[in-house]
Amino acid sequence: MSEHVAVVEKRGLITPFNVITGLIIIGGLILTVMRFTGGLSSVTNLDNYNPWGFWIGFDLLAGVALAAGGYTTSAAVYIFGMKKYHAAVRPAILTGFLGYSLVVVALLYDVGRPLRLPYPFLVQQGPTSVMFEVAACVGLYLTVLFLEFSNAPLEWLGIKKVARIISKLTIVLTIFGVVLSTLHQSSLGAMYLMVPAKLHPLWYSSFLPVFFFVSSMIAGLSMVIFESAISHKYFHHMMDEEHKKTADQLVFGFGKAASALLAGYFAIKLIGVSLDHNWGYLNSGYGYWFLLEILGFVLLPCICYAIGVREKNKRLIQITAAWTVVGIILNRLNISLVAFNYHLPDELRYVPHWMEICISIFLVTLAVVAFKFIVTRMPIFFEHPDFPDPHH
Amino acid sequence: MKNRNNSVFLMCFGLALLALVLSFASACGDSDSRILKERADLLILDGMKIHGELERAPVQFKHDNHTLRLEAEGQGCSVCHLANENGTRSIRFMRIGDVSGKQQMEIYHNYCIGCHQQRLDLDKDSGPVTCGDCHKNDPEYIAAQAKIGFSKTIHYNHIKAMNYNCVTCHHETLDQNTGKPRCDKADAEAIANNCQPSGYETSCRDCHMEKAIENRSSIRDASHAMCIDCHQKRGEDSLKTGPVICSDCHDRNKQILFKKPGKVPRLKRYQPDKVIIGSGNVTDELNRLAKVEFNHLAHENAVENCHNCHHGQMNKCNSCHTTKGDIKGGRITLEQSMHAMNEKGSCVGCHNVKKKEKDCAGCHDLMPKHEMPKSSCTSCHNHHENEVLANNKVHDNDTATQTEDSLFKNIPEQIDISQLEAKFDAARFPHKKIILALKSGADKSKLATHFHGDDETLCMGCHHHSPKGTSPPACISCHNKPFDEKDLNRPGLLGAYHQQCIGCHKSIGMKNPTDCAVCHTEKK
Amino acid sequence: MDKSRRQFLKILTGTTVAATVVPKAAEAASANKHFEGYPDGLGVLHDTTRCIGCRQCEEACNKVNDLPKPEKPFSDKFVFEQKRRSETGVFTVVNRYDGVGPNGEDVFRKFQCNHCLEPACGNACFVNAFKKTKEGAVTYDASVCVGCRFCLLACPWSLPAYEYDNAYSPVVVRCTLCRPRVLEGKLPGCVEACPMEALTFGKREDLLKIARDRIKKHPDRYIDHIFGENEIGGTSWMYLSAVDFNKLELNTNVGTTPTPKFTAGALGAVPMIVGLWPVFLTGVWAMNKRKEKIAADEKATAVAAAVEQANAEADEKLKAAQEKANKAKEKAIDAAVKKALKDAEKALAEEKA
Repeated sequence: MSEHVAVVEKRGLITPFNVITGLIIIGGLILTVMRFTGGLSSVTNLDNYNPWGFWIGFDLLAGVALAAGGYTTSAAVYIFGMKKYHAAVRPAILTGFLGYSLVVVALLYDVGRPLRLPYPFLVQQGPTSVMFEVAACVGLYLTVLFLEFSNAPLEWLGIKKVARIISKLTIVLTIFGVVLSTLHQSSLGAMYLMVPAKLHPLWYSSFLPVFFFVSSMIAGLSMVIFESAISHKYFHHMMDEEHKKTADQLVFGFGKAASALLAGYFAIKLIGVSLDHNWGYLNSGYGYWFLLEILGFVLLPCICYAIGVREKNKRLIQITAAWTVVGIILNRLNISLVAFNYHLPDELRYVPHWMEICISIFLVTLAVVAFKFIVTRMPIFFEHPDFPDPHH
Repeated sequence: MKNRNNSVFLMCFGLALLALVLSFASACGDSDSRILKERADLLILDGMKIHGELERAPVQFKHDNHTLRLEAEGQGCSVCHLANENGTRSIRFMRIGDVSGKQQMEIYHNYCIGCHQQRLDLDKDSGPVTCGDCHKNDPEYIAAQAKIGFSKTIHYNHIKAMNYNCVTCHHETLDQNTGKPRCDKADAEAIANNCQPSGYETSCRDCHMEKAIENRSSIRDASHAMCIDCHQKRGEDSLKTGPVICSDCHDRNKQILFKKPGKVPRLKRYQPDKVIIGSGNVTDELNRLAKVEFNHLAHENAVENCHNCHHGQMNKCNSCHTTKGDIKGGRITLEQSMHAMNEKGSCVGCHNVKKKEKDCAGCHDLMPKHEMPKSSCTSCHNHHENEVLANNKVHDNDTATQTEDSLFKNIPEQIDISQLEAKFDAARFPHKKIILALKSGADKSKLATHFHGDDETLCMGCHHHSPKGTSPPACISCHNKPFDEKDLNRPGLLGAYHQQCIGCHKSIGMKNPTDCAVCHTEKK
Repeated sequence: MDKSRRQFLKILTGTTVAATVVPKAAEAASANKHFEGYPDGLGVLHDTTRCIGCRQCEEACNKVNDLPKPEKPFSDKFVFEQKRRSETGVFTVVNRYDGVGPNGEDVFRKFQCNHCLEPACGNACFVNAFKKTKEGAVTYDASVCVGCRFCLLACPWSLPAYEYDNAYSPVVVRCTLCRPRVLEGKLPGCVEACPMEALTFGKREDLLKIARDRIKKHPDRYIDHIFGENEIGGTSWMYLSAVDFNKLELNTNVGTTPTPKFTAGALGAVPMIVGLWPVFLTGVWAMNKRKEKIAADEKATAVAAAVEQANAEADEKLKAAQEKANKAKEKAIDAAVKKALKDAEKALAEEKA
């Protein structure tokens, strides 16, 4: 079916996209030099009461959650056998791979001695730490994603034998990926179990790992819908027939799944509040913020997804997907920055430095540029004619 | 069209949910931590409790508001308080005796709301007429009635004003019908039936308890009926009178304003000057320790109110506090009632309170408070059984006779403490000045001189844990290395000096007790 | 079927790795273990009623640890105007709490790492840089520290500090309980310097006895509570106070559960997930595969049947058509023969005429 020709338009380098991303990248590089020559205090507002800031809250926590599309999509297609979403697997894997790479690069910035990042694997282990488990699983999962993604560049480069071997490993990698994702998504939440006195009771719960895991699935599904919407707009010319045909199925199918998951997530969040008798906290500033998060960014998207699926309203689902992504970012930032240290007086609270936000934007831009580079060349949105998918 | 319906539905749904959760939250929410204002005249009307569980929140009644408002309009207590048979006023609202629950509720509702409503109809300032305005769930005030005891001073003010006519208040002295004394001091049976021979008038609390007994009102009812009635009448006759509204008695700030006539003459009640206190069991084999010679006169002068010690009735302590702990005495044994370390009513407890005064605290604050020094027992238990007390004198110690020459002439003027010289020069210790200051402080108090016995005791304030004498050990004899495992309670020399000196300075209220330069200058 | 063998091996390795890697967590999760500190573990009792705010302890700590000299000298009392905390180059500080004393006087308190019995920082560190030693001190190994600052996050009182200004070799800044000095038989610097012996050094169990003794002897002087006896599972650095500990910024709502217990459940679930999740997922995959196969088989059967039927029908049609053609041929032959005969007859008749 692939009478598709990859058309790479020959345009000049001075496009609006390139200019903007170029400026961001230049600015980011300057800030990078500042960070690594001046120390963390030169570009961040981190202090001894607030050791983790925007980079952990957004790049790490939100980044890992939003990159969850990889395992959810490949699980749906390869384990649960939903072949109709097959076209979405490679883009989702790519998003996931770039997302996790972004996380690791952000860690290089955040950690005090980035060259020592391999220490927990090579030098001395601290297995009592939840973070050790996160690091191990993220490291392994990045490898899994890399292997799953590697098919595309291998096909692009024509290295047939290796590409075929990796193809055969798909199901193993997928299962491995789901197990690893379950572990590290929930463990990111488990890290905050250590600080019941520092996290506002409405966000602290012994079920934080469960909340993080479920919301990661929601984030992954929504991110796939969101990314698919953007890609269809800007990379339509790269897509083959199968992709274009199954696009709508993807939106409605994932929208349905996301709606169900959001409903379940809403329920367990309320149960979490009830189990710890925390209803009284709702009648306060933090309480209203919590209500906004779960009513406006969990319940509302749940209903909108449901309505969109029922009325076959693709636009509504896509907007809801974007809204849900914002909601997941909000949730992660709430836990790491807003509800954390809620008991401290205002003058000791943390507000991100503008340079921290700029570096995050820089990293996201790098990922977007990489995404564009890859999808305009490698068989992500189309099947390479030499490598028909054996799973069809 | 469909899409618009959906968004309307969504909005309504969202708002409904928000309202639901918020109302739920506010119901369970922590109540505001408002600071409740204190009112001395606030009465919590929860008398309906005796008829069963309260259906509504108790009413917060501001008594003075009502009294003052009615007074301004020329009306008195009789508006709410009916007259008893014997002419006194009933303390209860619009009723004399006990009534049923329904009747009580109706009385309150009819008269309160009725009056309020009447006033509203006449366009006057009024009170609440709806249920929730009286039965408030979140009150603004708390009742803060400071206790008003009938102290010696207040009693003296009264007996002067009444011209020593005891019967005015001590109504059990004379028979009310015949006007003759109900009993004389020899009539034991009559006294047991609560009559008070002339000259032997006793405290109101002897008969009027916390709770009413049959037709004998509680101390609260009795004192309000007696006091306020009398004050009211005298006020009407334009005589000098006492407080009538709640806050004038029960507000601590107003209590300070009571007249203080200086030295109050001793209350004459044929009480003894000196008493021999024993366990009350004359033949009890266990009664072997020397009895206590108690200077009742000195103690009378030291307290404001007989009830400081005679806290229930004006009896002997051992009539209720027996050796075994009778139920009459709340199961407090005699030993506990005399020796309890932290109870103001016990001998030892009250003395411990005195030891906190500035003249005493310097030494006594540093001493452990959980047990009495064994040497102090014989300071009190010093009565020799066959000795006759000449002139009612007890063994008093009078250290004020010891002069400076006799004991203190060998004490150095100043000692330079140099054992730990490092950062600072030697500390300058004005030894003689300090011991003389201690002596002058102690000599002011007969309690102190009695228990100290002699001036050598004063040395033990600092030269502690060693025998009494005129050449006590130096600090370094016992205090050297800190944190010795065998005696972790004993500080090292550095800690010992600073804890002792600075500890004392803090307790006596010295300004800047932690200013290093006062004792030793820093080395250059 | 080599795929399921592969799965099995993977599960086996995974569980083994997990089992060796998280034994401590599982142990902590087991019910009734309560670590009361190493026997003979040392600690410090800080009696805040004795502290006079002279800052000799700060000065001694600075000297003993070779820390940089501060801007203001240690005799400066104006520093008390602000609340301070540990930071780069400062292991310990004394803070003043104005007027919170029982008679309205100021109260002083020294801040430093509390050397918990089950330290949160130790539990958080993923390179095991923190160790609770037998002597009682919690030591920090800067040579493996990656700088993730999870220890700063995890400490319930936010006691450690980090060198954010240091670009190349930042380390975590905290009190060490002067372990090197203690091993030599000396006292920690601050303890030695305190003139009031507000810091008592000794075995933790002895310190508890002393603290209880002091409370018994002077019930009017102390709140009947030893802070650190049970807080967060117990600390080596304990406090006595005349006022509510919260007024001295000693947060009492940290509970008595040692921090590692909070994450023990989550960590304990890891081997369970590693063991069960692949089984479940493989099962689902296998079921789906089976479903697909059955669907494919059914499809093939149906297709075959349909094809056969179509063939049979086609055969019949062919036969019928052939017969018809044969008949037509015979008819045509007959007609042709008849016509030929007729023509021949006609030709003969013409010839005769």
